[in-house]
Formats: sequence, structure tokens, C-alpha cells
Amino acid sequence: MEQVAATRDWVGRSVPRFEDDALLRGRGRFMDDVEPVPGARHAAIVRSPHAHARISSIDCSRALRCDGVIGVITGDDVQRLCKPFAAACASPVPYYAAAIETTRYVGEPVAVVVASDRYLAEDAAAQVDVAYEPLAPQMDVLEAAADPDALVSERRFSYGDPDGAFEQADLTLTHRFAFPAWTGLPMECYGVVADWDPGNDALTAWANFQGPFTLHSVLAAALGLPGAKLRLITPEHSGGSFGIKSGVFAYVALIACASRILGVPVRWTEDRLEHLAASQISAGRSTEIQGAFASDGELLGLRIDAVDDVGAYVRAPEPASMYRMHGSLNGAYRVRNIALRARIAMTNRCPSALNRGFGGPQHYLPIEGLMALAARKLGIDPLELARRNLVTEFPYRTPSGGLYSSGDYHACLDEAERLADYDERREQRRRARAQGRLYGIGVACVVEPSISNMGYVTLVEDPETRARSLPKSGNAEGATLTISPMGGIEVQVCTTPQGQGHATVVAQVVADALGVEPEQVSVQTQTDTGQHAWTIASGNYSSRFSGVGVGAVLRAAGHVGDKLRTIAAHVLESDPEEIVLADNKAHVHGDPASSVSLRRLAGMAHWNPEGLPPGLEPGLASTAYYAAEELQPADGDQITASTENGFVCDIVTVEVDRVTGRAQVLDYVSVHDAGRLLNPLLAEGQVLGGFAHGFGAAMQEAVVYAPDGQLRTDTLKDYLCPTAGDIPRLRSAHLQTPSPVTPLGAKGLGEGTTMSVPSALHNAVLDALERDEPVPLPLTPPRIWELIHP
Amino acid sequence: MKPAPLAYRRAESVEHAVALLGEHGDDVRVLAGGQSLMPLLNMRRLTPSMLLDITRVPGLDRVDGPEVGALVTQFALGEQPGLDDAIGECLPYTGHYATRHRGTIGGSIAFGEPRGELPLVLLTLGGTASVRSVGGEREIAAEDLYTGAYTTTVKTDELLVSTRWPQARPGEGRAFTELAQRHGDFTLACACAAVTVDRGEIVEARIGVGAVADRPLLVDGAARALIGTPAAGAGAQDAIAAAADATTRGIDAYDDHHASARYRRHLAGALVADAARRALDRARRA
Repeated sequence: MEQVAATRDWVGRSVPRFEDDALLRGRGRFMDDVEPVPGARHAAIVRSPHAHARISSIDCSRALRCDGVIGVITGDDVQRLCKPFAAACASPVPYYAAAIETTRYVGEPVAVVVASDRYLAEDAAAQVDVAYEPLAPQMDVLEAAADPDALVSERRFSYGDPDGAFEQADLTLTHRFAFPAWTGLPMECYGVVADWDPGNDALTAWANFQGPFTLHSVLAAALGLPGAKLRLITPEHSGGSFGIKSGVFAYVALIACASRILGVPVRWTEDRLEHLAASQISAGRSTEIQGAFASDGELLGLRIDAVDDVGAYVRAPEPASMYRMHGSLNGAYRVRNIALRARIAMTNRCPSALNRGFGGPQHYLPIEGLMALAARKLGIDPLELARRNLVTEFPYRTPSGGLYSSGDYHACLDEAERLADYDERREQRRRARAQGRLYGIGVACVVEPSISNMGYVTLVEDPETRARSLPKSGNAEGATLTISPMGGIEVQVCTTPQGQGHATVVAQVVADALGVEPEQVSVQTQTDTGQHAWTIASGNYSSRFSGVGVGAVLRAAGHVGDKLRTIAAHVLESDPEEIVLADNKAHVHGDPASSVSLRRLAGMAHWNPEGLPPGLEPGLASTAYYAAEELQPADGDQITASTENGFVCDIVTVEVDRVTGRAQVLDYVSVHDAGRLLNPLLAEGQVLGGFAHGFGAAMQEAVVYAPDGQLRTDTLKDYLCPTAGDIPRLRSAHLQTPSPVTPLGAKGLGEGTTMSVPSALHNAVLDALERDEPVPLPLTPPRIWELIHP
Repeated sequence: MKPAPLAYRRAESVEHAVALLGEHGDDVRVLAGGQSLMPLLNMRRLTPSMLLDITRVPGLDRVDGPEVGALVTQFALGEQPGLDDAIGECLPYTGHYATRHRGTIGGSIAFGEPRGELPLVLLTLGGTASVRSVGGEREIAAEDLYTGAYTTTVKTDELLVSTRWPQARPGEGRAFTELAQRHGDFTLACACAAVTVDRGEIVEARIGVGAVADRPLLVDGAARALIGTPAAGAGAQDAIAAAADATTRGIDAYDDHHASARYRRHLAGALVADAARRALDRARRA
């Protein structure tokens, strides 16, 4: 990276969020607050009440006669105007923005009614007469995986010598784990305004999209638009996403079709019923895992047979849930012999895609659950078993190609043990058990990948097929930094923050780079693909901001800082290398009195180009791109799936009430190493948010469908996302082993606890019940009680 | 999530309200607090042709001894001095702090949510509801109020104007308890007990359970297990265990994706034991 003079070290401080003032005063500008184009009409979507049905007819005549109706579009219109959405692998069923002939999940769009307001649109939507012929739904992912028409992909991978490991094992275990689908439940649902421009055959769409911007290409291709004719704009504020809002792209296509056909701008704001039924959920996974252990507890080999349920269609970036963790098949352990059978299957559920942790929670539950079950069989304490197997030497190349650049997993584990007062917990457990109480301790050790390699999803293809396509790799981001004539600093990023506080961290980074105060840095986070420096990898996912988002900002700031030093050297008759940027000034190193203000330098660059050093461009701005290091295209079946990998060690203590089956968390300790923390306050917020998300998956939340495909969790009285009062206190600590790979040494940390918490809580309840079989998630009182009282 | 078209009328008085009900009653929904009704209207799960707003009807927001006006909010009732133990224990479980400021006692009783706490307590305490129509006023015993989930014997031309919650007599103790998966949610099961002790013996008992069936239930078998037993010591403990057992064995419950019928019956029994134990403690001190 360019040399930058850090003068005040804003990075690393717990600077409170600049974003909060507007949000806490109710002055946020969310998708439904912005009126970007006059005269937008309102859409209501007619949705399938059936999980699987043939559409025999759609009669819109009654709806068209309703008050205020502009028009109605159906799946036929969508099919006429669009191509199917592309995904990383071929799918047995083409995926369009609306059902074409057949509906495949409850809530799937069938028609769109556009009217002068939402009330009238909903009134008319109820008058669209759709005749369905119900078909048998497939709700069982294992059955689906055995059905060639529902199996999307199957690949087998082998690293090391799995068969040899199992032959020499003293203990082999086989268990099946199911991770149910769940969701992120953002406060703000999806929102779209689409404005088709018939004069230019172009679309401008506003949507609370979060990236990845690969989906911009998917959307443009589906709409038959060259990329430049799809201008996608995100609003300033987001009511959360947690991955879920990546799926809004499908609705951008749908509402765009309505705008195009009806000749008006169209707004659609998703309501909570629509959101629960038909936005996006995580891929449910069923995993049979086999472990081969030596008698001393060494994990010799793993065989993983995993099936992901992607729901009714393969929605990009699926089938990435399966491959996101591919660089970490070994988890945090030294095991070198691993076999993986990876299958992707379709059922009649809502399509899956990003949800915080994306593949991680599903990946770690079987591995960490296996470790807990093995510890019982081996008679070794689970923390000790983890300790004997953790990766110890860095950098560590995993069997499947992942690179663990740095860390000290044992130090984290030791800290967790100390913080949890582990021996005392074990003693309490002994005493509680002597009284007949159900008291358990759970441990989870997970590696948290960040900054995904754009190429990892290509593992879904075998190497020969993959070789025929353009290689894919890396993860790049762009940013623009501008200094105005009066010295104001503006930074534009395309990291589409969803509440993480990117603007605050960008201001800290720029303040250090240019020797100013963070408050002086105005950070724009609305992203406009028609104006801003985005890349195919832009967006808010895989905890990529602190690495590549910051990388692009730092590079742009470096360019502008270099120019400031060049101008200052000219003014102060010194060398650029001798110029220090600090306190809103440029001064000569060792001679603070010889200085010129930032404002004056900015004024020169804008007002007086003749006064600049000969040959220097006027203006003070830079658009820069930064690509994460260490990310190559897949090599055979090896992939560095992520740039960085943090580490999380959790120890949780629970007590299960024998009478009600309720598991109560008595203590929860989580120790992280996410490299250098750019803002510890925001880091802790991410840990707590991920904890709440993981706690929900472990204890309460699941997207539940009946065998007939009807959605059981269709309102918030049945979908039990935990509220603040339900979430136990988390005691966390951070070790900071700087990343040698990212520009400021940070590793992503937005998803780690979502990955670790379901495993740790599972293992604690398993221990409380002293069980030799996995416990089904979520760990609700009725489910646990049924296990105690079979 | 917008309501279907409906007529909106605001009643100025009880007489006005019952006149409107007399005229339009078949397809009218009464808006008292709206904390259940409005979401159902927004979701179009209810599509009445008229919404009759009684929120500004004067005189219905008073508490007078055991008599609670229909528009008394759940929050306001909870603030009453000398509040009954069972009511006091059930109100914090009734929705959330925010919804209790709008949710009304009359609304909760008239709505007939089978998992509702207030209908169970009214039933267990042997309360009544007063309803008025153009033709006059009548009282409905809580035992005769519910015919199924969300259905009551209040006629379409009648307005529930108040409920009566009999106060505890000397020697009577009461308690309420429940278990929800998430605080403020619909409960997995709830239980209410009212126990009267005289000269060291349980002489009267009423035991109710909620959220296991389509309406709150009185469990006579559980009450019988308690009556005539000692109010303290091993005899009382055995009686409480027998009451719990009678509950688990004696009630039908339903299955859903949250819990099995078997779990609900067991939980109801466990909650009955807890409520009966605490009611008995209070009765001995009363």
C-alpha cells in the first residue's frame, strides 16, 4: 500500500457511530421514505397459496375493473420480457421473477397489480382469479436429493486419505445433523421503485439491495439489458439485511416488468407477510458426518455427506451456501483426511441464499457436534479435545486450499477457559448432577472466513467443466475520495452498509490518512451503479468491509494524500517525502512551523491550477480500486475460499428444566481473534448481533413448513425471533493477531458468533442431557422435553 | 397489509354503539383497543363491513371494585391498588408493555383468544361479562362465554360493557402462571388456581388451564383432588401432585408446530402444580 502518515491513530479507537444521530432521531431515509421519481404507482403482488400447483388460468378482468387500477401483469409477461435468472450451475427448473405455468412455493409471485395506491392495489389483487391444479409438493430434502428432477448438483471431493484414516481409527462415529432454514428478519422489508425509460430502453431502479453486485449482472442479463442500462441505486439508510436483502433483485426484475408494460414508475414495498413467505431464507442442510479418532483424541479423518435445500429455485448466489466454507472443511482442526459429498437439492420452499453466516452455521453444527459426541465416547473433556486438535502453526494451508494466515487458537481457547472459569463450571456441573439437575457445558471452536473469493462457487462444477469458463477469483472494491474547493472531504463507498457503521470507520481511516478529524469526513454510502466506482464484488457480505472496503478507501486517500504532499512541497519548498499531513495542515517533517493549511492546498488545486507544481493535474480526487490478496481461481478442487480467517472460541453453560424442557443459558463466553479491530465498539456490536442471530437459530427460530407445503411460520407470532429480553448476556473478549494480508490488519468479524453459537448451545444441551445422539434444533422447551420424556 | 374496504363509525355513547350494532351487527367488529384486531384487519384475515370504534365512549374506562369497564386498559388495571394476585400475575404476560397501554380488558375478553391470559383468569375466578343491546343488559358467566376459538355467546347486537372479577374471600388465595417460548408471546400453556382454606383444610378450589384447547378450561378433576385435603404438609403436596396429574390426564390438547399435545398436557399439569402451590400459600396467609 501507499505510504500514509498516521498522526492521530483514529483507527483502533471506539469512535461512536456518526450514523446514529439521524437514526435515533427518526430521521433515517429508508427505501420507503425516498420518492426518487414523481408519480410512482403502487404494486400489490398476487401470490401462490399452493406449494406446488399448475396454473391453469389467470383471469384479470375483474381486477382491471377495480378502482384506481393501472394494469395487471402475469408470469406470461415476465417470460416474454425476461430470460431466466442465471446461477453458478444449471438448474432443472428455470427461475423467473414470477411463476411461469407452475408455482413452486407458497408466496411465489403469480401476478402484479398496479394501482394508484397500495390499498386499491390490494383490493384489486384479491380480484385476480387464478385457477390452480395442485401438485404434490416435495418438502423432504433427502428425498429430493434422491430424485434426479430435484437434484441440482452432486460433487464428491477427497483430500488426503480419508479411507486410510478410518482404517486406522480407534473410534469412528456416524451422526446425522439437520440445520433448519431460518432468516435474518430485518426490521425493514424489501422495497423497490422501478422506472423504465422507453426512450432509451433502460431501467433505473431504487432498491434496498445489499449486494453482492454479481447480482446486478444477473439482473441485467435477465432483463436483456447491457449492464450500463441498468442503473441500480440504494438508499442511504437500511433497516437491516443480514444477507436477506440480496434477494430483492428478483423483485426489481418483477417490478421493472410492470413499469415497462404499464408505462409508469412503480413502487412496491414488501409487507411482513410477504417477507416471511417469499423474501429469502437460509439453506437448510442435512449432514451425515463420520469422524475417525485415535484413542488420544486426534481427529484423523472426516467424511461429510451434506445436502443443501435451496428451495424452489436456484437463486444466485446459490449454490454458494455449500461452498462458502470450502476452504475450511477441517474447521479449526489439523485433520488432513477429508471426504465431502456435496449435494444441492430443490424443494417447494422459499428460495434460499445469503443469511448471516452463509453456510457457516450449517457447516459447523455437524463438525462441532461430532467433537462433543466424540469427547463423550473418548472420555476426554471437550475443551481438551479441541485443544489437542487445533491448528497451531501459521500460515496454515488447509487440505481444501484455505489459508489461515495468522492467529493463536490456543491463546483464544485459554482465554475462553479463563474467562468462563471452566474448572469451576465443571465443578458446578458435578454438584448439580449429584442433585439430579440437568446442567451442561458446551464448547465450539470455529474459523470465521471473511472476504470471499468470487471463484469459490465455481467448485460446483467439476474441474474440466470449470476450465471452459472464464476463471473467477478475488474480491475487489472501489472508492472515490474528493476534496472540495473549501477543503471538505467526501468519500463515496459501494459497500452498501446495512447498519454496520461503515461511514464511521471510513471517517476514521481517512482521518488518519489525511491528518484530519473524523468529523470532517463526509461519507456517502448510497450506491448508484450509474455513477459510482463499484465492482462485481461490491456490496455488504462475507464480512468484507474491513478488508477490501477499507482497502479501496485507503488507496484513494493515499493518492489524494500524495497529491497534497506534492503541492505542499512546492509551496513550502521541500520534498513531498518530507511533508507530513497532520492537524488539517501539511508541514515539513521536523518543522511544524513551516506549514500550509489543508484548506489552502485544496483551494490551490481548484482555484489556481497555474500555481500547482508543473505538470500536476488540477483537482483533488481519486477513484481507486483494491483487490484482496491471496485469492486465486480454484485449482482443481483446491480453493482459497476467503482472504482471511478469524477464530472464535465459545464456552456456554446451560441448565435444562426437567419439568418444562426449557434450556436456560447461565453463562456465555465468546473469545474472538479478528485481527486488528478498527473500531472496538463496532466490533463488539457485530459480535453481539451475530450472537443474537445465532441464538435465535439455536433456541427459537426456524422456518417451518407443513408436509403439504403450507408455511407455518407465516407471521411473527409463529416465527419466534428472539427479542432483546430473551437474549442472555454475552461475555466476550478479543485477541488481536493482525492479518498480514489486509491493509490495516483487520479480519472480518460480522458472522463468527452466528457460526459458533448454534454449535455451542447444541453441545451444552447435549451435555446437559448426557446424550449420545444429536439434539434437533431449535432447542425449544417442547423439543427438549420430548427427549427427556420419550 | 392494508385492510379491505370497510365502513368506519365512531360511537358517541353506549346507546349509540348498541343502536349501531342493532342495525349492522352481523358484520361489525368493535374496536376497543385494537391490539389484536388491527393486525388482523391489516392482514385481511378479518374483513368486516364495518368497524365500530368505541374508544371514545364515555364511562367505560372505570374500575369499580370487582367491576371493570370494557375500555379499562390492561396497563391501567395493573396499576390498580390492591389488585387481585391472579390478575396481577397474568397482566405482565398479556402482550407487551407497549400493547398493554392500548389493549383493553373488555377487548381481551370479547375477542376470545384461546391462548389469552385474561379469559382464563376470568373463568377461574368465576367472573361474568355484562353485555348490552337495544333490548337491555344481561350477564354471561365466564363458563358460558366461550364456544370455541374467538367465538363467544355475545350476540351480534350486543356490546360487552364490563366484566366482573369476584374478589377473594377470607381464606382464599389465587395465583397465575404460564410458560411462553418468548416473553409476551402466545403461551404454550397457562394455569390459574383459586384455593380456599378453612381450619387447615382446602374447602374450595377452582383450577383453570389455558392455551391447550380452543378455549380456556376449568379442570374439575384437579379441583376435586385438592378439596378436602390438608392445606399444608405432605398431604397438601400429595394433593397438588394429584391435581397436576388430573390435569395432565383430564384435558385434551392440540398439536401444532410449536409443541405436541402430550407436551401441552404435561406442561399444563406442571403449571397447575405451580399455581396451586402458590395459591395455597396465599390462602393459608389470607
